[in-house]
Amino acid sequence: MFGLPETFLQLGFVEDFIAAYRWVWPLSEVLHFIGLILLVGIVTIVDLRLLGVAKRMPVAPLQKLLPWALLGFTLCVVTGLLFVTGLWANVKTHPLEAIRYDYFLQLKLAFIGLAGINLLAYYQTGMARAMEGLGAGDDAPPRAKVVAGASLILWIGVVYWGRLIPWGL
Amino acid sequence: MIEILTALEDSGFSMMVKESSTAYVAVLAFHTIGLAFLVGISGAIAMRILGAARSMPLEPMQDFFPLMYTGLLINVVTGVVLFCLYPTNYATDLAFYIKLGAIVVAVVSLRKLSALLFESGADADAAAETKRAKVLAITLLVVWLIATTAGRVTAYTVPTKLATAGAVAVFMTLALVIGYAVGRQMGWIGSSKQSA
Repeated sequence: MFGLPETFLQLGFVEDFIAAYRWVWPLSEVLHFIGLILLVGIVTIVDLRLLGVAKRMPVAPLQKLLPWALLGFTLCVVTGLLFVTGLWANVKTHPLEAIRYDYFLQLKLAFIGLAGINLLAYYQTGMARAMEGLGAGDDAPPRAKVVAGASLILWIGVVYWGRLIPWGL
Repeated sequence: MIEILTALEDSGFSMMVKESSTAYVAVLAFHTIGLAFLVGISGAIAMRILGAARSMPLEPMQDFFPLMYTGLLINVVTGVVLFCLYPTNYATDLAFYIKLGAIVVAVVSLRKLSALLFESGADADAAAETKRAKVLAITLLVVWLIATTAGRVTAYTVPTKLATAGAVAVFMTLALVIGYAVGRQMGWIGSSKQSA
């Protein structure tokens, strides 16, 4: 009955991969954790600096850490897609049902979306480039603090809702 | 010993948390947030010592240590609560002891790294270039990987635990080798102290 993918969210080859090797799912969980550690760890450092912690840190060299946060985010997206598209192989729930009924998953996706909009605002308004000029001891302007505070709360929220997803299925 | 653990497992506190799924998952979620602070920030410092974001001064990173230790505190508290729920399971699980051992080594390494960078009287960025700093940074990253993996596989059967440990080791080795080769090719990894 479910030999063919019901929706683009459910992928037979991912299910087969998960079913074929017992380590696929837990390895992906470990990589999802490594990704969140990289992402949230680095985002926390940068956001707190803009909020006034470790003000003696110049912002430009600190932002050199951000590609590693992006790598962490990529790891989380790839493994997250594996969890969704191959969900049936692990918990016998269809991905579409999970998206429809798991409100923790919905909250997590909404928080990621908001964090994305927040980041877009940070780069589109030229704030990111302006922050490059913040040297040791310089205070970030209030609007940058709002963006940094929102980012911090949203990403911690993403981890919180994410950890609850299995209980919403 | 097993009587004590069983009594703990059946205690009012343990039953209360287990039966309240809200409390249980909140404790689990905070365990992950504490981990992100402690492992994420200390991991970033270790990566900086090993060559990431080379132009970033290390001295100001000292200001993030209180947050890291807050993360550690959150995880000790939530960890003790989680242990109280199923003590007989954890106490008989080798992966759990590996995780605890790895965390002890990680915290000791972090303390030593902090002393070397910030309390030796020398400049932190110069101290980061010493072999001792690099060894401590590598140790920290390896034991955090072991602790995270061992913690994550707790819920699985022994054959799955072993298969996953093998898969993580193979994956990380491949990622490092390929990452190094690509980094060299792209010029992201310099021969010595150039700003990255």
